Amino acid sequence: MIPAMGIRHLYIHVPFCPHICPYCSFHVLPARREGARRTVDLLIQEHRSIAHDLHPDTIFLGGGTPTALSTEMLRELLAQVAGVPGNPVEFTSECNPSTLPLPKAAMMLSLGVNRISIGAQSFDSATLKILGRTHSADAIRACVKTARDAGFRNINLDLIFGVPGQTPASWRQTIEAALSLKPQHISCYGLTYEEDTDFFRRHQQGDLKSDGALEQEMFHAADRLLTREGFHHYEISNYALPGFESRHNQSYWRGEDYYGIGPSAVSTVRGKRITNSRFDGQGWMPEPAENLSRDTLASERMALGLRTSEGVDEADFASHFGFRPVEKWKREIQWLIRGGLMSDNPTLQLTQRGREVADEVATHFV
Amino acid sequence: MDPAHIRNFCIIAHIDHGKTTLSDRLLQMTGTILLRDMREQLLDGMDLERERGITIKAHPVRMHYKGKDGEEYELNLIDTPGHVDFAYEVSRSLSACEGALLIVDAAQGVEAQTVANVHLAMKQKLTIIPVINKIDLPNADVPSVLRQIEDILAMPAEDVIMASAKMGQGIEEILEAVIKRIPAPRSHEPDSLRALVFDSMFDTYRGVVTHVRVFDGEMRPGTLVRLMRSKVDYEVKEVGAFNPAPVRQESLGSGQVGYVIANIKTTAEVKIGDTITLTRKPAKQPLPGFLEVHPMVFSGIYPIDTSNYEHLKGCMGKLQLNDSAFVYQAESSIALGFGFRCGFLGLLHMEIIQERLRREYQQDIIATYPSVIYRITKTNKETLEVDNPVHLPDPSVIESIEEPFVKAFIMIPNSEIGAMMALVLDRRGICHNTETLDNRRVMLTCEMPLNEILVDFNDKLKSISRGYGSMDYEQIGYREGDLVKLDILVNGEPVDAFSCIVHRSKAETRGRALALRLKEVIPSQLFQVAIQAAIGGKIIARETVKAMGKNVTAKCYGGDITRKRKLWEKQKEGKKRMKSVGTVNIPQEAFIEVLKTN
Ligand SMILES: Nc1nc2c(ncn2[C@@H]2O[C@H](COP(=O)(O)OP(=O)(O)OP(=O)(O)O)[C@@H](O)[C@H]2O)c(=O)[nH]1
Ligand code: SF4
Ligand SMILES: [Mg+2]
Repeated sequence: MIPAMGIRHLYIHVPFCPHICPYCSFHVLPARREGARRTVDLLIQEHRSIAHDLHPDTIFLGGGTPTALSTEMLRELLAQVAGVPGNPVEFTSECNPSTLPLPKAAMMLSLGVNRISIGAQSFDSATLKILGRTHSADAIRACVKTARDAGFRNINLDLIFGVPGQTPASWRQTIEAALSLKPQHISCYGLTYEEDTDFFRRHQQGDLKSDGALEQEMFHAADRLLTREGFHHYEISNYALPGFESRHNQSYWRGEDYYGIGPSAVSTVRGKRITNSRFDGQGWMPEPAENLSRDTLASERMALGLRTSEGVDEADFASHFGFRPVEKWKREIQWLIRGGLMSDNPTLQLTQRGREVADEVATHFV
Repeated sequence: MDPAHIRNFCIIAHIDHGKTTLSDRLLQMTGTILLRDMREQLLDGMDLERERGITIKAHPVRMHYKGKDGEEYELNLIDTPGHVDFAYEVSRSLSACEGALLIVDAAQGVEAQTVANVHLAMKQKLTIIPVINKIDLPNADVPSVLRQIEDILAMPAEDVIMASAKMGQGIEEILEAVIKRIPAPRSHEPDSLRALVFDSMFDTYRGVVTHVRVFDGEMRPGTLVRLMRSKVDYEVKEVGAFNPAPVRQESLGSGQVGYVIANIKTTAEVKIGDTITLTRKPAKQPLPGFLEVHPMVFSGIYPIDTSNYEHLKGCMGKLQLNDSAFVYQAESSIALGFGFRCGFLGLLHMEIIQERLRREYQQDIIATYPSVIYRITKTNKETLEVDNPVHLPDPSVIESIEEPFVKAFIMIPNSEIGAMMALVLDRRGICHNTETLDNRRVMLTCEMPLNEILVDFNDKLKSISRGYGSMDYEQIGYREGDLVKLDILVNGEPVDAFSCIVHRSKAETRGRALALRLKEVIPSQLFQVAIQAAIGGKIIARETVKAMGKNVTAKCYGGDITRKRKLWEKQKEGKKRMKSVGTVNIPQEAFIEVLKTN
């Protein structure tokens, strides 16, 4: 195969949501016409500026809620993106239930989007309410139907567990409900309390409680129910039918280079990581680049790669970084393997128990 | 200055009776401190003193006062700490003075350290001026306190001055009494120089600063002096007085209190209590020195990060320069690595040293459970002293263990005798004597193991007496006891920091309580943690810290890996503040919590 020129992965951040969720720590703003207009113009401009160095295999349009943009604005943005040479085998757009009318979906498909990721979160109305989500379970069903009707054959549902008040039984029902819609991909995220969110404050005040043991149970339940239906648990939070693993996300976990455009977006290109500032009403700017040392990249590769089922291939790792993981982290690796958190056969990867405590494990490599 | 116009005195009292606040007023009245520079408890200059509201070190300061007789006087005041642990600061300060202001709180009355400090002052034949302070308090009971001063301290009521340091009442009267009642200093060997070193301090820029009281002769920059006991000669570089900051003076003469800087490199060269004399014409007799203070409580201090050992050692050395009562020596522990065995005068002293290491020197440290010195007789008649439970020989070769006992003087309201006696009994003590002090209070004289009053006895005493009880104690020697070593094992490994020597009758309850408390403070980790308490190898309690539940952060959007990495780094940083014992991370607070478990 002839290697394609340029960077092969692109992320686009659209910072608007019709309604801001109280647990959300992403850079999001209430959707307003003027801001959206300016943002789309600048996104197009920013995309142009990197186009010469881009040859995307995967594109991810995220946010925020990209479908909160009007059909017209979204079309302009997608037309710009589609105009650049590349072979985007996977082009995902996030959307929220009730933001995807059929004509918009059809337009997106026609301009290259081939995967829809729906922020379903839950099919239980009590859980949706605590999460501050305004949609209903029926809206999710309708959204999936619209996407299908428009022609999408690769659909992901995002689900959240560990929500205060959520029981293992209601979580299992949510998974069953999701499965009944026959998506190709399901992401199950544990709720976290991120700084600067309303949930964080309420958690600190003791008003919202987390329960590690309960989350553990739900994590197991998801694994059981989804793998039984033929889903492949290919990363801690991600399940896919064979062949539908998200290539875009895999590129992050494999330590590949990517461009990110839009406010707060991050690019990692040739040893430099650049984060854009947030949208201040006028625009955004790249912040000073972080030079990633070999050691930092190696640490990230370990911490992220371990989370996936393909794991970290020692020989491949060594060819990138010049040393094998065991040379640097001998004690840690031995200890984690002996403790049943990690395995090294055939690649370095976390066991099911290891995945439950992946962040704790990651601290041993950073 | 003509010695006839010098007065040297210290302020002594039970803790919190208002010594430092009264010093504020004296400094203000004499114009030593301008109003705009005034702040409360000005002499408590250390951060820790200010925060805790207590005096830890004696603070000397020179004032000038024009008496009603029209004469100008130089008054050298030393504010002293009230807490028992720092009693040695009081006795040293007293030896630099001719008189003492004895402060008694108008609401609390005479308390244990009031009595103890009066005894110290009397032994040194000082003139004592009794002052009842805080007469502004709504619950002040001046008539009763007057009676106590007469009955307990045997001082005539007419000598007592009424004051409120807070409201500035009685201050002038106190100053007048100081110049009228306290004798002027007198010289006994006027031909030579004799200056008593009563404290020393280390200043990074100026080296060792010795605090002295000149009894005979005079010193100025250039004077060649000799430390009589250590027999080393120096040239005086600077002399001065405290204002309260050090202020350079031309000379320090007979009767004066101040400081001397010579080219002394380390405080180890100057023994507190030594006499400075002239190299060329040494005095015949040194001044009487001080009894050496011996630490009573020992504890290990270890760096959390073992690679910080050398740095910690440096910090300990610096601390010791300003606190000669603190001793340390290298030791090592299987669980904790390399660290130091440290000796303290009491638990407050221990806490303060640990806190200074943490705050002034930014050291992440953990401290082991405090211990007294035990005397062991082995079956082969060999004897040894043990200040660390780890060094206790195997029980099979121990014939007997002796522990230090104290005589405790406990003052409490009549109504609380029953409860107090029960507490003493519970702490393996015996009450020998109950003396009625006045119609409301009694003094119990008890003999108790030092080990039993170390940690929380004073808190218990205060709560039983609702704040109106107090205690003083002195060591009275060693007694045999049925003592055993209690060990705590974490995942099967004994953690010596948690070991202690306890009476057999208490070992089991304590072991259980400790294991339970540790379970609460050790956070869940990757693997489950077993905590066991053992006496002589026999497990008497077991608790388990469950392995952590799910611990994974959310969606990592758009490749914002740096943010995630920061999170991991933060999590890792948090662990660095814990001591890893084997594969278990134990937070600093666990080492503090065991102290509170009883
Ligand atoms: N009401 C009232 N409070 C006072 C008076 N004098 C001191 N206090 C208060 O008593 C407390 C203790 O005062 P300090 O001057 O620190 O007492 P101390 O004797 O120096 O204490 P130690 O040095 O720790 O032994 C403080 O809260 C003062 O504000 C007074 O005359 N009246
Ligand atoms: S919809 Fe998603 S991106 Fe928008 S506020 Fe809610 S959680 Fe955040
Ligand atoms: Mg004080």
